[in-house]
Amino acid sequence: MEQAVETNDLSLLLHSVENLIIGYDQADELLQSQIHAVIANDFEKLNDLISRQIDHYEELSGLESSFREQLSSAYQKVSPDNSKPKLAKLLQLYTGSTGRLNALRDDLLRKVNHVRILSLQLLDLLKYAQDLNVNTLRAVMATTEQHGVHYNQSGKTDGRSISNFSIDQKG
Amino acid sequence: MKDLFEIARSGLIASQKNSTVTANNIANADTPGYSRQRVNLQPVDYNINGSSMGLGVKAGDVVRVRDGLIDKQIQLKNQELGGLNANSRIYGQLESLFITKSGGDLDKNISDFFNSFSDLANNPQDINLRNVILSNSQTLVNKFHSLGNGLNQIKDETQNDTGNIINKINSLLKDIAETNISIAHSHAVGKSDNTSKDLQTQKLNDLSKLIDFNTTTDNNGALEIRIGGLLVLSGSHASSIKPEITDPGSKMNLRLDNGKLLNVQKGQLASEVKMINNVIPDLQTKLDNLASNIVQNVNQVHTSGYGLNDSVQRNFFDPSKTTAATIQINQDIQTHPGDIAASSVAGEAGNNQNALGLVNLRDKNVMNGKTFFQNALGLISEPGITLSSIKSEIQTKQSAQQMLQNQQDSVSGVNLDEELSKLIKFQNAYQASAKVMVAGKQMYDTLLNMI
Repeated sequence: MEQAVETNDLSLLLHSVENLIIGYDQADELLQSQIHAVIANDFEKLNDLISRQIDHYEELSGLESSFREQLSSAYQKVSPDNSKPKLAKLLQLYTGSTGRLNALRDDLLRKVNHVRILSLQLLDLLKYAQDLNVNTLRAVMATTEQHGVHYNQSGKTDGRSISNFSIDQKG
Repeated sequence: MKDLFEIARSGLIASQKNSTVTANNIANADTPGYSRQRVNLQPVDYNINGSSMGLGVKAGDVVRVRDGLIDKQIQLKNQELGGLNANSRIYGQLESLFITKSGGDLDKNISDFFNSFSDLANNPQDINLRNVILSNSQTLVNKFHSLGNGLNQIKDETQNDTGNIINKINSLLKDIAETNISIAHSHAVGKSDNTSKDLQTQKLNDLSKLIDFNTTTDNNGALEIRIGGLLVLSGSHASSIKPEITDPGSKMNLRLDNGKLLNVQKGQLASEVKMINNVIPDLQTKLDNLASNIVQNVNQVHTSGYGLNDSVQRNFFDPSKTTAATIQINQDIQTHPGDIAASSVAGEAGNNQNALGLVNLRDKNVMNGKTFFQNALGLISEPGITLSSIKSEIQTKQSAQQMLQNQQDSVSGVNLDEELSKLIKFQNAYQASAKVMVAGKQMYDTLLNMI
């Protein structure tokens, strides 16, 4: 049973993990670029990176799905409980040589964690930038007192004033 | 991990500085002389074993977005316009002095004066016509007095104004010296004092309307100013200018407090000094020459004739008073109109030959190849003709100055709409990016649970 896992499933898993590593390297690069774009106030670059990031997530999502399928399939063969398949557990249950896949798993784990931390850093930076923008917009509204005039159906002003700006802070 | 924190920290600082500068730009949108500012961002690299790693960004100096070349051109135009505006104002005063709305101007007064002798020639014994001559003569004399005094008054007012301009220049030089201190202090610690630089540019623009100068920047970033080649401002030291008039008739000189004579060419001060030293004295000389020529020529003819009462030959005008400010009718003539010499022969009351001789002076080219009337007309028209040409030049130069100002405003002015739309655009992009990040985080967590 274990031999079947090694020859068929483990080689597929190894290939999937390699692909995921490449994918997360790209994710790392994209996030670093986004941080720089936010810092440099480079609007065009930021917009471009956001759309590239969306495309890349779709790609990563596909890689993740095929990894999940391969892992489930292999995991079923070593454990009757297939509700939460885990690569680390699979490698523990397997008695043969798993050196290469173990090393790749460590590498992927490190890279996913790095990307996760990087995305949290970017989220913090974005929240900070948004707050500053909101404060600046508020200051502008306060200094310029830019208000619109409300006209009623008869075309006369009804004394209400409307702010020209509305700020969505929820993001 | 350290590099991540470094990137985030440098990013936060840079973002904060950028937003502060944007907010400052917006707050100063209506501040005269304010130049738009921006943050110079520099990437930070970290070298490990020969390979370079990005470590975020460093928020560098906040710099003024301003075109120095346009500033210099604006200042040159200011100098020209400052001078032209001063000329326009003074020539306007001169024109109002010489040309009145009522039309009773010097040319008409001269014409009336000689025409009244023509009437007397028709009836030399008519005492009423002799009184008309006296009346017209007094009107002419009064006109000369009023013009002479008017020119002196304009000269005095211009001299007073020159004093005010010099005070303003001295005050501006001191203000610029103070900004120099602040700029040099910031320069010494590697910073840029943009507020002081803006203030300095504004003061230089004000100064350029008053006087012509050249500027250079020393090694400490402080401005040096030279006027007519002489150093008047260096670092924190500003020289002061003093006007110098040794006696009322002499010319005005400008000296620095170190005693050096200052030569100014453009700006309000140069124009006013030129008015005091050249233009107004030139008009005074022409007016005095006209008065003097009338006195001499009229007296020459008048002394060859006789009045109704005796055989004494008299001057018509007091020969000792020959300037516009002093011209006077001979006291004897003034009290006895019968003494006006219409006759060429003593005792011949009906003789009109001398009166005709005086009438002939009206049409004779006695001065500069022209008649008295033509000379007077030329003199009183001169300020108006010059003023018309100055006004046309001002319009041309103002257009050029406006164009330069618009160019500078497009570079350094704050466009509120632009700043706001930029903020809103960024806000939307930040929100989009944050949403993508949240989606990504779920994916990372799922994968981490599987590996």
